[in-house]
Amino acid sequence: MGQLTFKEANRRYKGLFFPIMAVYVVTCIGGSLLLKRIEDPALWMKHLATGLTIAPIFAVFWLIWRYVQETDEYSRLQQLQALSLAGMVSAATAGTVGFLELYDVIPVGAFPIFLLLPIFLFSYGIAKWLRGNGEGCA
Amino acid sequence: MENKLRVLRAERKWSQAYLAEQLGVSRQSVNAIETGKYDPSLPLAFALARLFDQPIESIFFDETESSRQAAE
Repeated sequence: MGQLTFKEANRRYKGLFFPIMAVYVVTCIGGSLLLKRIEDPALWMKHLATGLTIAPIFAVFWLIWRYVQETDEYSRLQQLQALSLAGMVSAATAGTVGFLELYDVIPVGAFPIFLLLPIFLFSYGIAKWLRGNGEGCA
Repeated sequence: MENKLRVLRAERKWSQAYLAEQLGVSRQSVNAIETGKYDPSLPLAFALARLFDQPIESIFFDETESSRQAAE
């Protein structure tokens, strides 16, 4: 079928997933601790901390994209269904918050927009677990 | 779509994991095909046919067609 086997795709996914997550944890905690310790940090430092923290997030999304292309067709279907569901949950949450703000039900900015990322990842994880009946692939 | 994958696999005493390994797919894929939760693509169906040395139509068959023939 001219592509990697499920095992190879899984190995390539896991081989990068854990190092990327380790970098994320280090940059996430390290960046915030460093900025708190420095009195009035320069703007470039804040940009650097932000860049270093979001780089692993982009990297993990690229990794998921690569895995979807490389894995077997049934796992690909499960992944795409989970990603679709996560996207819908995130978009629906953003829309709900937007309208609540628009109609002055909640103040603008009361819901931190960056919570959409954990909402997306949580929904993705739950959907993937449900689609795999708890058997869970990558 | 129905199939007799489980029967063919049992005849050869192959596990789902072994069949999955031969096909380069996950064990969950084999299980999903066997239980009718997932219909494989043509390339995967051909790979199964090659592996079991049988024509595709003897492994996979349309349940509506088979029930129509049975009614006749």
